[in-house]
Amino acid sequence: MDSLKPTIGIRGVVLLCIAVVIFSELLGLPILRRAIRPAPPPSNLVATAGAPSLVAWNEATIVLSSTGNPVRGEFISRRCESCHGVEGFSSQASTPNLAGIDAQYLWKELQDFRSAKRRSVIMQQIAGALTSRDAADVAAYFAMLPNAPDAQFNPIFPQTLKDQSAIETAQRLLAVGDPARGIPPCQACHGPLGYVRPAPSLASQNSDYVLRQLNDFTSGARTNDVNLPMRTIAAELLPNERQALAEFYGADLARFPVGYVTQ
Amino acid sequence: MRIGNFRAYLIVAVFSLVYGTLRFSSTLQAAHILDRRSRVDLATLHLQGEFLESNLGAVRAADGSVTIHMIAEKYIFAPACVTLPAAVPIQLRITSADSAHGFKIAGVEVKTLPGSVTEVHLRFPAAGKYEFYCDEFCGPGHHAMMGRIVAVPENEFQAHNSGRGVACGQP
Repeated sequence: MDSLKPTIGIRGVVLLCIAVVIFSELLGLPILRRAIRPAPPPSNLVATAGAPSLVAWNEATIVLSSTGNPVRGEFISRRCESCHGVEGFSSQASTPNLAGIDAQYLWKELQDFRSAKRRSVIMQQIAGALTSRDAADVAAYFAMLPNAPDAQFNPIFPQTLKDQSAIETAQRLLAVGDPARGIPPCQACHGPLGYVRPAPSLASQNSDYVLRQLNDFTSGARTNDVNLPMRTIAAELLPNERQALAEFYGADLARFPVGYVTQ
Repeated sequence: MRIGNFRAYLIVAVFSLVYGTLRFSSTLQAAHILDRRSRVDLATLHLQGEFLESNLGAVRAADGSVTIHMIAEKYIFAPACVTLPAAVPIQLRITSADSAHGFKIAGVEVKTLPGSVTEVHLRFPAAGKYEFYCDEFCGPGHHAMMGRIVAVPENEFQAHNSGRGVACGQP
């Protein structure tokens, strides 16, 4: 008589499972419907201070800034030579070396000079005369130059280290940072360990320039770091640490921050 | 092939429990990411909307509620130090500017993704310093990605207050 008892076959099991799936999907519908509801009106927060930079990294700006024409850029770079030097190595320690610096960073800085988000009387005039395409081309040219020091074209780089004790301080900050104070290692963004757009490579950068930028970030004289990374970190650095970092970079020791043989 | 009733019901029950739980929770999570109210434009984060530089930090609305706006990015929190009134319900709205980050503070642990805002409700029972840090590996500077919340007695709290640096501008 067992065969007369109603039993669920394998077909029944499959059908019930399908029913469960459909039920679960229907259960999720009200949640997903909330997701496609239109966005609420913008918040009533008022923009009191200006934006740190007008550059928005969308597809158009990323493509423009990374596909400049270095051949055309070389012609434009003639008006940079008197300060930033032939081959991108400056003859004054307070002027930055541009050789081998990331094209997107250079492009963004030129836009910021143009919109006066980064303040410099000279650079505002020069960058103001360049179109976005010109800026991309000249950035591509400087990005292409080798950033290895060449005695023929860069008489003042690398600079001599004034204080040997700077090496230990700077090596620690470059390689490890100071986690207790929220200072990430410099090389995580500025290389050679890693790069974050649009942080510049600081290998072969002049010490006076690095020091002035760190001080400007601390005092708020330079504010074009989007979302406050450098203003936060520079405010945590002690004056002697800023000095040590500037000397370390200026002495071209930053290429191998850990285990570099100190003489 | 025929299966006994009990076994069939067991199979269906286990399947529905597992499938239903997974599907429902994943829908909830997807809803959070898809929700237009929690979406922000990554490219113009610093140009418009609630995450403008001048809006970062804690702000107290007219009805007394306190909201923090914060951006997590490689490898800092902006702002890295926030002053808050103690013993007051606080709404934290945090977003990421580049990759996935975490925000962990005294038992509360959330993730943030670029392009979407994560909202958390916090309450600091007593005045004091609370450290928070990123608990989602985000790169070679991850270990130093931290910040501090300084809870002050309610009457000492100013309307809009966010400090520079992790130490709130103090040496």
